[in-house]
Amino acid sequence: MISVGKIKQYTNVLDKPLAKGKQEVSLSAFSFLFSELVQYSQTQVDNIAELERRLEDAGYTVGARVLELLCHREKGNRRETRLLGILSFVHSTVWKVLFGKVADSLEKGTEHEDEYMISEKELLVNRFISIPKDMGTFNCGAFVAGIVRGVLDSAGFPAVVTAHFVPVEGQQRPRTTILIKFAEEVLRREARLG
Amino acid sequence: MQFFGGSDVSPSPPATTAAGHNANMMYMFNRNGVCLFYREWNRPLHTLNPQQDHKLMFGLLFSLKSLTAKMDPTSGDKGNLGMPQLPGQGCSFHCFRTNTYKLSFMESPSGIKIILVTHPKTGDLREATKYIYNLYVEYVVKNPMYAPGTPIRCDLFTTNLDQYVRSIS
Repeated sequence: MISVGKIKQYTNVLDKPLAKGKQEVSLSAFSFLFSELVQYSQTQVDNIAELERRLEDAGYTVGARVLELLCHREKGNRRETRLLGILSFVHSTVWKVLFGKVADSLEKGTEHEDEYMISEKELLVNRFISIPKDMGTFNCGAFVAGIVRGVLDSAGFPAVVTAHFVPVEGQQRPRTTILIKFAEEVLRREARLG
Repeated sequence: MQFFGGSDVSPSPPATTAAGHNANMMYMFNRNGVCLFYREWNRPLHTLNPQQDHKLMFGLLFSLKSLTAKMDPTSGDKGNLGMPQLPGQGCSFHCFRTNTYKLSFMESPSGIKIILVTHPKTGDLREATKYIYNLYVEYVVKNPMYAPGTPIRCDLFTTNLDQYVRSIS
């Protein structure tokens, strides 16, 4: 009889160690899946604003889960309580895990106190997508905006997050900016914490 | 049959750069004969209106493919001339050349045909057409705003295509 190595059988699924998983995913596979997500959403809505909202909602659920996963894996179950802390977490850790690199820049808005911007030369999800002229300012980066909103919301920093194209002179493709506008209570809490 | 591209009076090659081959124009058809894409960079003479032009081009290639497959001395089984062929069947012709231009052709297994009309001194363009097909897959097929079977209107595809063609000219 061939002896088979004993695999430790866990009776309770909660006792199994969390797998690190494969670190690489095929870009083509993701592009096709995302393309199909956008096309499916297009059939369900009547206008651009609703389409963006649907993509954002899809991203929101991803963001909530990503926060749980990354808090466990990367940060040793520590919780962010400060505004700058959570922003740099999103800007570097979340971006690194999702897109393979940190975001290009994180800036504080000059006009309003509660606005912050994460910019990227070209969002990974938008790499193969060209928007026809008649769709105006529609941006598939709404999905990424939803992810950021999900992370912030689940961490206790409610915010309104949107994705915008910002034209840059000298470059044909506009840059993408994720605009984060925090709710009142976040700023008040931040002021209280000093 | 009307051959087009370049002037009829005296075949004067277009202004050549170091490599000596310049793309004149490009067509893309799908397997139903719909012209997905047409782009011209250097076409001094227009003889037909665009619809007739596309139909003629598609018909030409369809017949040429059929003819070359039937005349193949190496393959055994040949159907009747005129029977439509599947994309992989028969030998595949890849270019013809006249004194004023060279037409290169590539057909993908999904029936997408890419035609490049260039200067007659151009070398083998099979790699170029393969690369263009790759560009098509990346920037058109993966674009959720594009409905397959309709003419291509994607900026990314056109920009990258222009860049690539300029780089090989």
